[in-house]
Amino acid sequence: MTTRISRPLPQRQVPGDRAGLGEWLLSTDHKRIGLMTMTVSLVLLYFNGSLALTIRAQLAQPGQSILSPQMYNQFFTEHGSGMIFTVITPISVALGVYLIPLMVGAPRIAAPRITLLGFWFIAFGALCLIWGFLTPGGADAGWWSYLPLSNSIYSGGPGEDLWIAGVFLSTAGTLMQGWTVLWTILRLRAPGMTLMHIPVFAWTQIANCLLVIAAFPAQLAAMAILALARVDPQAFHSNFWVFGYQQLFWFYGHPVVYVMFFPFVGCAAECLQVFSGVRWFGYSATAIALLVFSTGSMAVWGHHLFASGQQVNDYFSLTSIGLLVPAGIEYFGFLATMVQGRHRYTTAMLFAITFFLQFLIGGLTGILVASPAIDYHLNNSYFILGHFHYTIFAGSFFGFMAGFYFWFPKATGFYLSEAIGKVHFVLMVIGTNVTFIPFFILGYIGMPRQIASYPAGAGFTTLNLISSIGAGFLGLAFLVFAYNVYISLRRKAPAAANAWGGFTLEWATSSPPPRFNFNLQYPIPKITSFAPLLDLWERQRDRAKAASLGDGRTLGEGGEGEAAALGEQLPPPDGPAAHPPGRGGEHPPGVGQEQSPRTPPRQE
Amino acid sequence: MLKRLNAMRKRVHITTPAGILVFWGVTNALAVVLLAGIFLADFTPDFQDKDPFVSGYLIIIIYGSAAVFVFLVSLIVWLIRHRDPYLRGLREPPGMAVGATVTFAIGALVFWLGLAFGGRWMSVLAAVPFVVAGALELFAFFQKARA
Repeated sequence: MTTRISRPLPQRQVPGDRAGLGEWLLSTDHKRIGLMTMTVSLVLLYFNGSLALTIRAQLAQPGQSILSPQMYNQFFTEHGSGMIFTVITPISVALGVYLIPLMVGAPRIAAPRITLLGFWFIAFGALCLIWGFLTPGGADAGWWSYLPLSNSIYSGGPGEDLWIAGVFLSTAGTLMQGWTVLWTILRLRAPGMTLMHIPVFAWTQIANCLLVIAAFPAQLAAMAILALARVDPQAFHSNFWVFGYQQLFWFYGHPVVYVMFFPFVGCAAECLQVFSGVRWFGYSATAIALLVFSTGSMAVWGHHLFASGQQVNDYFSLTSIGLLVPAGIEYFGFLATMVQGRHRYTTAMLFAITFFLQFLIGGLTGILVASPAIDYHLNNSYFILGHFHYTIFAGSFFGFMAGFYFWFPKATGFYLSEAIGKVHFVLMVIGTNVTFIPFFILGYIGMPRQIASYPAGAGFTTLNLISSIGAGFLGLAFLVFAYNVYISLRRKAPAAANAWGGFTLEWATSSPPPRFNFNLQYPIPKITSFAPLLDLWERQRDRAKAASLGDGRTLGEGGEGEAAALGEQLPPPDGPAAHPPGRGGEHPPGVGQEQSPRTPPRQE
Repeated sequence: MLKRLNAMRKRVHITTPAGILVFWGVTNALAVVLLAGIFLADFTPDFQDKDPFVSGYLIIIIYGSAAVFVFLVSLIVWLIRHRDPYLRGLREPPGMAVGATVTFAIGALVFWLGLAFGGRWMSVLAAVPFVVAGALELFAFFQKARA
C-alpha cells in the first residue's frame, strides 16, 4: 500500500517561491536556507583557506618576513576562528537543514523562521569576524581567546570586540538551526517513518543537534564573560574567571569537534551504502553508538586542560579513551558495508572511503593525546595541530566533499563533472597528507604551535617546506573544485530524480525538489525501513520474478502504484551494475533516465 | 503499580523522541556522577595544589547543568507531544512577516557592535530593530486572524 499524501499540499504563491535575490534572502524554504548557509560558509572557506596558505608561505623557510609576528597572530586567529565558527560548524548543521525534511518526508522544517534567523546570525557573525580581522589591531588571541590575553588591557582596539561579537552571533545562529533540525526529526516525520526507519544521516544529525543544544549555550556564556571582561578587565582577573572561562570554552570547544564530525559520518555512510549497493551494516548498533558517542563527547572536554594542572585528569583520560568503543562500532559498520557491497567508485564514493581512512589517523593520534603523560610532552606543539587537522580537514572535510558530490544533483538538478571531480580528489589526497603528516613529526621533535618563525638550525626547515608544498596542492585542489562547480552549472548535465540510485526519501522527489518537497507527482513511497526506495525495488524485483515463474504468488503489498508514481526514481536494479561509468570518466550519462537492459520492468 | 510502570515504560521507549532525549540525558548524568565520584575520591591526594572550586565543583556544575538542560528539553518534547499533538503552539503565520528575521538579526548585530565601538547609545539603538521585528511578527499573526 502506498503511503500517499491525503490532500494536495498548498500550492498558493508564498513569498520565497520566486527566484529573485530578495526572495532567496527572506525565504523560509529550508532548502534555500540550507543552500544559503552553505554558500556563505564555502565563500568563507576560500577566504580562511587563503589565510592558511599565507601562513604556510611564511613558515616554508626559517626567518621569513612575509607577515610580521603581530600579523601572523591575527592570521592564525582568523583562520582558526573563521574555519570553526563560520565554515565547518555551520555547514554541518546546514546539511541537516537542507536534507533532513526531505529524508524524513516532511514538507518543511520545524520553525522555519528560526532557521532563517539562524542563517542571518551566522552571516552577521561572519561579517563581524572578518571586520575584526581587517580592523587595525585585529583579534590575535587565538581561536580560544583565553583571559587575560583577550581582555582590553592586553588586546586593545575593536578587533577583539568584533571577534567576540562574531563568535557569539555565529554560535547562536548555529544553535537556532540545530534546534529546528532536531525538532524536525523528532516531530515532523512522515507516516511510517519511525525513528528506526530514519536514515543513518538523520541519526548523525540527532547526535549532532543534541551536542549543539547542550554545549553551545556554554559558549554563549563564555563570550558574555569575555565581553564583560573587555568592559571591566579588573573584575574578571581572578583565577576563578580565568579558569572558569577556559572550562566553559572547552565545554563547547570539544563537543564542537564532534559537531564537525557526526554529520560527515552520515554523508560518508549514505554514499557508501548507495555506491556499494547494500544497506548500511548494523543500523541499530550504529544508531545507539552515535547516541553513546555524543554523550561521551560531552564528557571529554577536560583533556584540553591536562597541562593546566587544574583538571581531574584521570576522569577525562578515561572518558577520552572510552570513545574508542562507539567509534569502533561505526568503523565496523563501514568495513562490513564495504565488504558486502559491489562498489561504484564515483568521486563521492572515493571521498567517502578516504574520509574513514584519514579520520582514523586523526582518531588514533587523539588516543595518544588522551593520555596525560603523553599530552604533557605534546601539548601546544605541531603534533596537536596535525591531530586536529586530520580530524577536521582530512576527515570531516572529505566527508563533506562526499556529500557535496552526492547531493549536488539533488540540489541543483545537474551533475558535477566526474572527471574533474577525480582530479580534485587526487589533489586533495596528496595535498592533505603532504601538508599534515609533517606536523606530527614537527610536533614530536618540539616545534611549538603559533610561532611566526623558527631558527634555521632547529631542524624544522625541511618538514616545513614539505608541508608548505602540500598546502600548495590543497590550494590547487580547491581551485579545481571551484572550476568544477562553475563548469558543471554552465554545462547543465541534467540529473534524474534519483541521480545515483539512492535508497532514502530525498531521492523519491524531483531534482531539485519542489517547494514542499513531495506532492502528487512525487509522492512519498511506503516506508518500511531506513532504505525505502531499495525496499520498493526489491518488492518489484520479487514480483517480476514471481510473474516469470507464473506461479501466481503474491509478494507483499505495494509495488505497481508506487512504481508508476515514482517512475525513474527507482533505485538501481543490481547496485553497481546498473550504473556503469560513463565514457571518459564523465558522469554516468542519463543515469535514471535511460533504462538499462537490467532495469526491472516498469509497471506502467 | 507494576502496570503503571509498564505503561510508562512503553510510552517512553528509546525509539520515541522523548526516549532518545531521556537516554541521552541519563547517560550524561551518569558521566557527571562518575566525574563527581572521581573528583571526591581524588580530592585529598590530588587537589592540594588546586583550587577545588574551579577544578572540581565548577566543572561538575557546568556539566550537571547541561545534563539537567537535556532533561528539561526532553520534558518539553514530551509535554508538547501530549498537550499539543498538532503543534498548534508552533504554527507559522502565513503572512510570513517578511523582514522580521533580518530585522531581529540586525538588532543583535547593532547590540554587539556597541561593545566594539564603545557607545552605550549603540546598544540602546538596537532596541529599534528589535521593536520593529516584534511588530512585524505581530502583524503577521493578525493577518492570519483576519484570514
